Amino acid sequence: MNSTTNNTEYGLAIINSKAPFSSNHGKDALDIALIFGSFEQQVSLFFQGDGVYQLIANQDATLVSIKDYLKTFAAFEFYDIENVYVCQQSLSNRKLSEKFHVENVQVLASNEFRTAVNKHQHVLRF
Amino acid sequence: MKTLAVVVTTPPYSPLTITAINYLEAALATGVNVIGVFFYQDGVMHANKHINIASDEYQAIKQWQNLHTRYQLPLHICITAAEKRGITCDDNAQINAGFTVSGLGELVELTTKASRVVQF
Amino acid sequence: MAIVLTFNDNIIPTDKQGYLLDHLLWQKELAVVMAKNDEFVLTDAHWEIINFVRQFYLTYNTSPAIRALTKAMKNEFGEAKASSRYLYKLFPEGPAKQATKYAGLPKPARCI
Repeated sequence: MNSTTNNTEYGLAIINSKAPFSSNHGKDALDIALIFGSFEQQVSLFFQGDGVYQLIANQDATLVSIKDYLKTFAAFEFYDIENVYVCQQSLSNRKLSEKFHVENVQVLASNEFRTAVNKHQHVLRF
Repeated sequence: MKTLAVVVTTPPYSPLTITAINYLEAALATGVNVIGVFFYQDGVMHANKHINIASDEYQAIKQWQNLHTRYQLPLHICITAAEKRGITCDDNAQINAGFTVSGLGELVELTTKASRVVQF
Repeated sequence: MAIVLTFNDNIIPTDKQGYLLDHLLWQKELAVVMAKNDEFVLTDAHWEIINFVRQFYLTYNTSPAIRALTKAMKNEFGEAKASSRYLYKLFPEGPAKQATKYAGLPKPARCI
């Protein structure tokens, strides 16, 4: 293939915008991230809007009979998923503290968040 | 050459699907190289043979099949999403003509090959 | 064709491919019976993987795809065993598929 742009190396950005247990969007997005990781393709995860709830610690999906896909986030290192970004504005709008259930989450101001998304060649949103 | 891949997550009865089809028709008519459509989430319902939409409403499935016939446009469905929605993929008996049973690996393939990915 | 798994005079519910429907019913002796039904012999090397895959599932709520499995194994067992060649030698039908079965886990949904 020709036309390699200078941002190709950043691969896919997945934007998560939905709360974890009111729909399947978070799990469906996670499945894509794991596949990209398994195929050694660069993938970054972004959380904004109600999507930030997916990162908040001390949730137990089994209390509402849902398989807890959030537990899988802790395995990201085995899938080479290193970039996890969360929108600071979305957190503060919801009065959420930066207590996440995974390590190495990068909290970004809105403009930095946008810049980080733009570095990726493709974007999928869930 | 620039290549395009499209991800469809909306079902046959969703107005967003019409937008996706119109977009693809315009792209294909102007000679854009569309390397494939990947159906995910409720999008896999387009492959379900048992979908029946009133004849005076938009016939999304027929439109996909037209695009497939006219342009050999590959239509991939995610098998896990399909089986979750009652579409058995063991044989092609339940799958609409023109659709191919694939997995998320195909989405990886399409996004790595395409210069642009558009999601509906 | 339905597979009937009998263990200590009880029928253990499985799916069509013989994977346990409830991973909590799993125990070592049951895995031995499952393997025996498949005419598959489990050695200590197999057990190492089976236990590891089961632990991975219990920790992360997902069965590891082959690449993630080898990466995780590297931390635990070192470089030599952390290769897909080693894993395929032990589980010729695919480590993700076979090891999860004898570990009592659901059949991995992802098709890779």
